[in-house]
Amino acid sequence: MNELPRHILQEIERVNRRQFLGSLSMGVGAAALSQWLPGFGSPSATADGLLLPGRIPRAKRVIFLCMAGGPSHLETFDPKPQLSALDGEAMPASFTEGMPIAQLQGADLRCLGSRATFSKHGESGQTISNFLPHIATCADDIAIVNSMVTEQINHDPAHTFMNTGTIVPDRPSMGSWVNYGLGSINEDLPGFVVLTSVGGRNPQPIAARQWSSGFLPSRLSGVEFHGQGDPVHYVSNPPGITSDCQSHLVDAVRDLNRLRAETTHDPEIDSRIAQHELAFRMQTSIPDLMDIKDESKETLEMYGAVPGDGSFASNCLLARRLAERGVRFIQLYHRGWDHHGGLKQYMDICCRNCDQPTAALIQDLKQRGMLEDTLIVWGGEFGRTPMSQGGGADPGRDHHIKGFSMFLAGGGVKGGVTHGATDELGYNAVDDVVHVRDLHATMLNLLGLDHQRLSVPYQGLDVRLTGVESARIVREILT
Amino acid sequence: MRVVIRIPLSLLTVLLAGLAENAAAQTALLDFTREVRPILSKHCFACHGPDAEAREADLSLLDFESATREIAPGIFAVVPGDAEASELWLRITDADDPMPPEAAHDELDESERLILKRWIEQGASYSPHWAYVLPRRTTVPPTDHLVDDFIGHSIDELNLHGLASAGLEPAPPADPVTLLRRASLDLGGLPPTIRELDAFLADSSEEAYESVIDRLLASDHFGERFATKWLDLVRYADTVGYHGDQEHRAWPFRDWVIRALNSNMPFDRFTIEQLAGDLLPDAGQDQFIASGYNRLLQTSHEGGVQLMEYRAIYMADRVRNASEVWMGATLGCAQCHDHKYDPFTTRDFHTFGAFFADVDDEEHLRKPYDGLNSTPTRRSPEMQVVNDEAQRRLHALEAAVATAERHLETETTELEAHQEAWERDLSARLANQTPVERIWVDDVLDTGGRLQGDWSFDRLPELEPIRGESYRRQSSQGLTQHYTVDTTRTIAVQPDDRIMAWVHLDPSNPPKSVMLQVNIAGNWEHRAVWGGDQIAYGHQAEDHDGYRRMGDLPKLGEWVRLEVSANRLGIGPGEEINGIAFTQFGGVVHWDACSIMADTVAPAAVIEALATPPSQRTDEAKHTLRARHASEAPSVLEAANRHRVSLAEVASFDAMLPRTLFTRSLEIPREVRILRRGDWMDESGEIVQPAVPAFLGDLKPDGRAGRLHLARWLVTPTAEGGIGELTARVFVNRIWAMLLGEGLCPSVEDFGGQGRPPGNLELLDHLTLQFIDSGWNIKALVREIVTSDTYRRSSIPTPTQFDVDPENLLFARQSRHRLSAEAIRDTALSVGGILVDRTGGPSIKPPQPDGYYRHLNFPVRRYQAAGNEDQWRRGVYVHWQRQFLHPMLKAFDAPTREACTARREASNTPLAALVLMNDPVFLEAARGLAQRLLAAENSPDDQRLDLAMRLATSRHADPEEIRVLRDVLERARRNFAESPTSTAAFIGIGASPIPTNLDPIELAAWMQVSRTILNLHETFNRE
Repeated sequence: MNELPRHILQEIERVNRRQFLGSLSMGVGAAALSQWLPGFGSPSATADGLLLPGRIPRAKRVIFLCMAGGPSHLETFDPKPQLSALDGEAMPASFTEGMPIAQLQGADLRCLGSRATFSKHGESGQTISNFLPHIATCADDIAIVNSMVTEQINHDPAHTFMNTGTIVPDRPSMGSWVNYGLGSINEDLPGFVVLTSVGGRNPQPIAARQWSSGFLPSRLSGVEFHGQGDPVHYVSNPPGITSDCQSHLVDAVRDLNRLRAETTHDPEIDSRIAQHELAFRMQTSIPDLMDIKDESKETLEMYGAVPGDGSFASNCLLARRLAERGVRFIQLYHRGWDHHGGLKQYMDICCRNCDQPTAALIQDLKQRGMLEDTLIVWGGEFGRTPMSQGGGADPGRDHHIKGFSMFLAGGGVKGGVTHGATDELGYNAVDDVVHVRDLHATMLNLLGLDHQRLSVPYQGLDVRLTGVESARIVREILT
Repeated sequence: MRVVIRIPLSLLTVLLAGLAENAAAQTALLDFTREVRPILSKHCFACHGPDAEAREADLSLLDFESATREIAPGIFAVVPGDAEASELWLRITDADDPMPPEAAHDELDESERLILKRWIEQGASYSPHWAYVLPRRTTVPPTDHLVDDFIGHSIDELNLHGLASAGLEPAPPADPVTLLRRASLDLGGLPPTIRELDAFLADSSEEAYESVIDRLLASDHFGERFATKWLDLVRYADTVGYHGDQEHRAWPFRDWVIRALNSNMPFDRFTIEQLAGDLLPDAGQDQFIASGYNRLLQTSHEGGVQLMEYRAIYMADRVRNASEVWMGATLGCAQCHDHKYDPFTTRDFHTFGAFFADVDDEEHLRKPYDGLNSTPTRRSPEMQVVNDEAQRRLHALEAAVATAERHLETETTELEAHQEAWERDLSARLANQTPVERIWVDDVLDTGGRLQGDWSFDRLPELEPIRGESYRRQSSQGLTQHYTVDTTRTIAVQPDDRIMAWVHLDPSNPPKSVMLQVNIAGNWEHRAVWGGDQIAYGHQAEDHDGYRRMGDLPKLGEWVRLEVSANRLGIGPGEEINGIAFTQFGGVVHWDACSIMADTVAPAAVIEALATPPSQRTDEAKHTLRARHASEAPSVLEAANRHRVSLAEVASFDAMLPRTLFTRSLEIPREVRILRRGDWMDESGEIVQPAVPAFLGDLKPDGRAGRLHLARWLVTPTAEGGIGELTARVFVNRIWAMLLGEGLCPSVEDFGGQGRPPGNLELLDHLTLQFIDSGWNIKALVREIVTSDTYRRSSIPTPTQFDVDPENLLFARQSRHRLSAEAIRDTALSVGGILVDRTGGPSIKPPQPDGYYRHLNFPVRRYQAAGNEDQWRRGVYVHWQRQFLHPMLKAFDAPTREACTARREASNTPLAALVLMNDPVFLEAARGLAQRLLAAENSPDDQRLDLAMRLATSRHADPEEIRVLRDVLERARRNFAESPTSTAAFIGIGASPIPTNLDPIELAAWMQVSRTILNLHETFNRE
């Protein structure tokens, strides 16, 4: 057939890209345009219509430190002397009656006083436990929220709720939402990267669903980078194939694909060519990025990282490197916080794994001038009961959703403040309650996104990260 | 991709009005369904639609009557024919107080406003939503020759009619190569072979094409290809999905789907068997397997789950799935409130859910700690699956039991004749105190109880057993133990009894030490050790009951009996052994019969009976003596042993039979309450009975309606009280989308008001009615579509087609799209000549990156890739781990199957490119292709290059392509010639044997060419 006129080819390309992306409604403005382009998105794409009018985004990127398993608020940021006074006594039924309960269903409910000691830190005098001595040195940089609530009491759905705002399957994770709204900064890297660490107690299972793009295009999915072995699946050349050899292959594939495009005018072929070339570049850039051997001895020591050990410390350092290279949303999982028994013992272990690296990440970003536009969020999928679980010298605590703690730092968050409070026994969040969807709305706000406008029509609904119920931006902790 | 594709309404208008002038469009009568309702649905129904609770200003815009009602004195939302008098028009143009309100961030655009204005001016006529209107017959001459050849094709007539009204010309027919490749990929999921290509090119007449289609429809590949689609819909997977994501046994369901499709089971039957096969009066094994549909949802085996919460989650999951799969409806959206856009109420949601309230599926929620945190986990109830071969084997084993039983009876009867002699002999032995041996384990472990270690009994040609037929051969690198404990058969011992086991230690590789150990009432602290002190269990410096040193290892290379007396191990009189362990450190040990030697000749009861004169013996005493006789008679012992072994063989075969989840109906179904706002802790809602959505009718059952009523209702024509036509339309649309790239109704997942109306409803309706008339004949439907000209058109668009119908919703041309993940795998394996084409069976595990399952726990998982040829089987059989789907499948958009997937995305990402370039499976396919190319001896390079292109893309290479490929080949030859180690590493990839008859450099070079071709866009594209 005859050569198609150029404007028709452009139209074909436009339409095909739209089909390929699938239809995110035309109403979202330019946001999505970045997504039709090859690579992980176009650099510096902005999202008219999604961005808050007249507001300059405070954060460009997010590092979410997921303390999987659910750390105890009562041993970290939320001291309860009254609970300690009742240690071993029956938990007043007025607190627990009609409440959802996980493993303590049908058990004798008794108070367990805090296993931590608390003291004031920094100029702001924030209260932080002795389990977190390093984070305590960042007291003036972080905003502690002691009034978190969530809706899911078992790990898997609670993680899903924290990440997607719902437990309905197939919904996008917040990293995908953020990349959908803002586009990528570096088109050669995924906009959403996930790292998980080794070490600690029997780890929580964690599903790839937690970083899935759900019904959004799969290029918005979180990509798991591995601290050990191949950093990304299939990123290494086949045995016996040199980089040169691989490069010839990519060139030949490009040439052949181009020849085909000339006869079929199929714009998807251009995209395929671009993806192959990007994949080839990633084969070099990702292993370089993941190799922390070139970091100074001081830096490695500050984090407590040993190159290649797959620890949370190494991952925190990698998070900084990813942030430097423009990855929009970085999620780090440490999976050792489910302390049904041996609370003291495992708090020791988990905090040893996580405390120093977290503080190092904050300090490191600060000294590089990146903390001001990097939002850090620290917390689990829920907290732990004021009631004890299991007997013995070192009992534990069960899952708890009616009140727990998280902290935020950087990216427009006010340092040195504590927001909200639980009741005298640390059971219910009672003052300035912050629901998970309020956290989401706040995070999006800091990124310059309007949580009400960041929506995608799917199966007849305008789906939002914050869902259908109203969400409140926690302005009290914003600068 | 499961997102509703929206095109601007202005474009849709143009599309439907063809290239008509704007002015004409302004006066044309609006089509309510296609042009007006979508605007009302998108912008108005959230507050003025079906959800009465969310209704604002007491105004509903759902129907003419409500919309034209006086909502306040003198105020009417819609005054037909007069926009300026209509509050609706005034408010949507009111800059100060607009509708929708500013806070909704849902502004109407100008073209939408004008459409609403014209609609009011044209009289504001309503028509019911198209998806709830029965399919209508069109004027096309009826075609009753579904399977016969015929001239003039109704699909084409209706399609051309649709095109003409939009001013579109159909694309020309595709060339024969493209057509054969398209049909082969669409119907079988595999590209055509060279022979198939040649045959078709030699004769591309109508008859030849039809016979190709018949061949493809008759192939087992048909079921494998179409099953993939269905398995996405019903969310079939091999793991439970939540938390520990343990394996469950569901693959017989997958095989059932493939079989049903291949045997062309009518779709109505296909529906009924899945939803309610267990309730059919003639239910057999297949129907029970099919009923496993109700169990395919994700389940949680996490400790601390709350029963009522998960009961609500599971019910919602089932409602979402069944309504989407069969009705194309989003009934799941009515869980917490009435549907915002469709006439489904919260009550409908709960009454629909109540149909599934009889599904027995809660063991794991009630007993979360009862061993269900293991993998594969148990999903009670489960059933055994017995195929024909297994059935024959089972019959044979049962016959052997019967034979052994008869033999035992005969032997026992024959003893009668020797009873007196034996009694005399016993008296003599009593006088002499001759010991008696009681065998506990020999040739078979039939003591019952839990066990650990490999208990398979064996017999090697080089070593005869000392007792019975076989022994266990145990080789060990270090400490190895086999035990059985909590046995149902126990053995009481006296202090002087000796515990014994026969061993044969391999002289060429002897163990360092061996140990005998027994369990008494849960206590394992009874051990006897021969040889060194390497075994750590119970080891202390001083001997004790829990570690008794018995001296050196016994003699090597011959059968020796280990024995230790009960009292040396601290066992008291009459204590019962209920467990035994055999332990060795290193080496090879053959373990044979384990027995207890009683130095007391007979128990007291026997001695007492014997002392009683025969005439005065009670029946019990006689029985005691006969039983004792039997227990000592070698012939009876032999027969009894054979009997035990035969029973154990049945039991072990039984245990090896595959099991699968199925649906068992509870006698008393669970109570279903309307959960207000979806809150499972609110127990105040009304209790409801199963019922279909009210606006679609009423089942009027005698008694409680069940799943069978629901299933039948879905596939019964409206004239007989069902919604069969609507169900058929949803299914027909899915099949069309599979074959033409897009549904006639483009929102295949949602036929509701928020979906998109069909571009050619007449054609969809026509096919729907024809499908029902054909007896819900799936293959006839597929045949009808693929034999149409519409299917056979070229997929290369003309400029006009792009201008008028960029999304190809009117099907002036065919579509071009990337293959599914499974088809990409299958194509690569098939082009490489390594595809293992076998249907059915347990899911298979191809290689995947190490450590990919590191995040799984409860229990910790280790992926064991198939070491055998299973690894090269088709994608539909690949193990489906919901939380961590195989990275290759995932990279090409296979869904996790956590929920219904009606439409897969076809993404184009660098991660997918990495798979094609570097996944060892694709490298192995490349080597296979290289071997195929080199198999043609003395063939010039260019000819081989052309063959490679033809195998992968079905067409010949053009000269320019040959030039590029030749360059790859020559460069690779030079590179590999320089580095023999790289060559060896490169060709050594994968598990299939490396050919030794080929020059490694040539093989490597051709492998690089093959890799190039297996990275081409075209190789994995359907056009």
